[in-house]
Amino acid sequence: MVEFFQHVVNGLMIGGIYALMGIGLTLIFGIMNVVNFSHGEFYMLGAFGVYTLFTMLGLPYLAALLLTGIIFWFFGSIIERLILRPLQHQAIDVSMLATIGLSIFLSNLALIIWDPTPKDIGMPFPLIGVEIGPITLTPIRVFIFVAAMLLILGSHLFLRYNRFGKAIRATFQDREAAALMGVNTGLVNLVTFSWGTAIAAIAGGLLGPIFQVFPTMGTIVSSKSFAVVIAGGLGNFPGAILSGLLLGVAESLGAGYVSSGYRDAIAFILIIVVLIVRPTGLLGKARRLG
Amino acid sequence: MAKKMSLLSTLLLILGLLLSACGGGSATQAAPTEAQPAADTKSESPTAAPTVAPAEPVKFGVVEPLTGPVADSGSYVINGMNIGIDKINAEGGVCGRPLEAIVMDGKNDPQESANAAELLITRDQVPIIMGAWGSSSTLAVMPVMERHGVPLVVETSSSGKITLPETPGFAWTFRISPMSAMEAEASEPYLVSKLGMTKVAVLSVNNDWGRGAAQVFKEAIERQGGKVISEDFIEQSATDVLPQLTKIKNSEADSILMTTSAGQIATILKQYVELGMTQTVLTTGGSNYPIAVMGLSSKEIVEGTYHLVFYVPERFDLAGDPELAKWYLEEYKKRGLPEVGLGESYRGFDGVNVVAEAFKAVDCKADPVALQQALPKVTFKGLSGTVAFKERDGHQSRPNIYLVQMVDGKMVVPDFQFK
Repeated sequence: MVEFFQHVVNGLMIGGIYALMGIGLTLIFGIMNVVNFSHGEFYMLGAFGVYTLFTMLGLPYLAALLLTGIIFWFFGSIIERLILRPLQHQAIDVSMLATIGLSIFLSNLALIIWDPTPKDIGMPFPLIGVEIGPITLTPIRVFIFVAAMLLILGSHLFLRYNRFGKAIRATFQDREAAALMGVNTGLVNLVTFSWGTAIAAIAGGLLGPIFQVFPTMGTIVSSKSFAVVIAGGLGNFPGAILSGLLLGVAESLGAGYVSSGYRDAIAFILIIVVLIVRPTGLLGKARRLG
Repeated sequence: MAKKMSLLSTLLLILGLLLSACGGGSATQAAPTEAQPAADTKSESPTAAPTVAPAEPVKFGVVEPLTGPVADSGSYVINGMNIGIDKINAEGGVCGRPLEAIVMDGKNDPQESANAAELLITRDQVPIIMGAWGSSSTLAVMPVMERHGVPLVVETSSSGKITLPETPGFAWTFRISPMSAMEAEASEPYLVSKLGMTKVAVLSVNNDWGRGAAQVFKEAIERQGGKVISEDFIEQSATDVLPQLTKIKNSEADSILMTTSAGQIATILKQYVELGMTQTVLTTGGSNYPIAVMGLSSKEIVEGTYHLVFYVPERFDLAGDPELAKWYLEEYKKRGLPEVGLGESYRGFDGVNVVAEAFKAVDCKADPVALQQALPKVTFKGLSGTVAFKERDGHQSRPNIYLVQMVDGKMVVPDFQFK
């Protein structure tokens, strides 16, 4: 039983990051109708950003994380402005191809800048396990989980109560009607994409210290994020959070009790099960298309 | 305007795809570009050695992972090899001709490695190849060698299968790295009695190397009265091993036997410390150089862990040729090469020297069959004992295998293994 709780806690910590990756991806899809295949590369670049700022330049970890977020906010705006905006009236597969190209370009760019050798970010917090009852926690994992939850909560509050957040939701529901009501939908796209990029980069920077940083680290995270988004219902914000946490726990329990070999398959088993049982996603509602 | 922009993004897409062809694409496309930098560095070596008369170079092929999850290990082997080539060429080369390597990236992927070997043989017509790092890759390259009748010098792989007579390509394969079984054999006398590994949890990378090592060590532990209570196999790219470690922590295991690359060992040990685990850790396979593991984690994290290694840089007395070992360490430091790579670099150095000795034995003729005949007789006093293919019908050498422990950021060689 003790082991079970430890697996659940471990799963929630990783699941928090899956959820964070998932909400960015799901909103970009929901609002911009863009399937962003370069999401995992933003995650990878974020980890390299923190590696450069924290490990190489010696900035405090929190400052490095924040600065990475800001840098990638602007990076996201540039990508949106130069690549996605010109394609926004094209069919969905055109922008999809563009993001696939971008992801290949970015991972190879990282290969050139930082070389393929895995990098160690180093521990921003002391690496001591704290025993809470039968469960062991480390400060870094708690920090990762809390930071992920705060970012998710912050995004939720922004979308719910902020005036611009409301404009984003209005665009999400009906782009044309929102535009007619005076919402600047171009700006909505720009902010959504920049914000999605920034939180993916921060997610990379958060997980970087406990793993290693290398140019191909985004690939597997990218496919997991898609699993989260599809299982949660395309464009569904709470669905992405729920399925992200669920995936983390399912992976942890699966690797612990079934077989380590199936660990990465669990995400895709989850998609298949959800699509069979609830084709619109965990929390998905039937949605008007087009 | 919109048209211009979409044109721009299309161009970016094409650029991205082109770049991927260099980094992640198929080997046939990737090959020429990747072989280029290696060939460039090699062409400098004759100028660095003014004693060499301008003569037709003696070429051989190399397949190592230069990209992918174990790219660092591959680059360390290449570093050691380059030191070897420069030394040989500075001393007059082989048969008065400079030795030259043509390096290709196998990514430690079986298919890519086989493609690389195929290309080296058919395009560059090399009469001998060194490679291909991982056991699964080497096993994929071996049939290619057999088909073309070209010998392979294996510098890293540990799987026992590689030097089994029934394995395709066995007749053309000569291995200087030890089999996992040799590691198990060497460490058997003290696994249980000195390290106290009575209830062992096995954590291995899921490939021929990891599975092979798990099997032979299990046998050795059981012969000594211990037992293996769990076996977990993880992917080469896995980063989160908390589930497996949690399971081990809550089991009755008193020790963990790990077989994987230095990078993954570092990740596992970080999470081991996170969970506050106390089990004895022993790593195997020789790609577990403890200084590299420490470089990817920290001094505190590796403290007290045990590792089986085939080369202990500072202990010249353990090498096949103590003078050479001393020279090598100085040369390595002089070149400013990364210390984390020292533990794997020796493989490239010993490997290229075996290739050179084989060439000398056949008067440097680019004749694969003559090289195949010559290799079983080659001996070389190197950094990891003396290379001599005395076992498995002249296809397997028995190098040094030592247990080291990390104490206060340094490798310590416990005395009990010298009886």
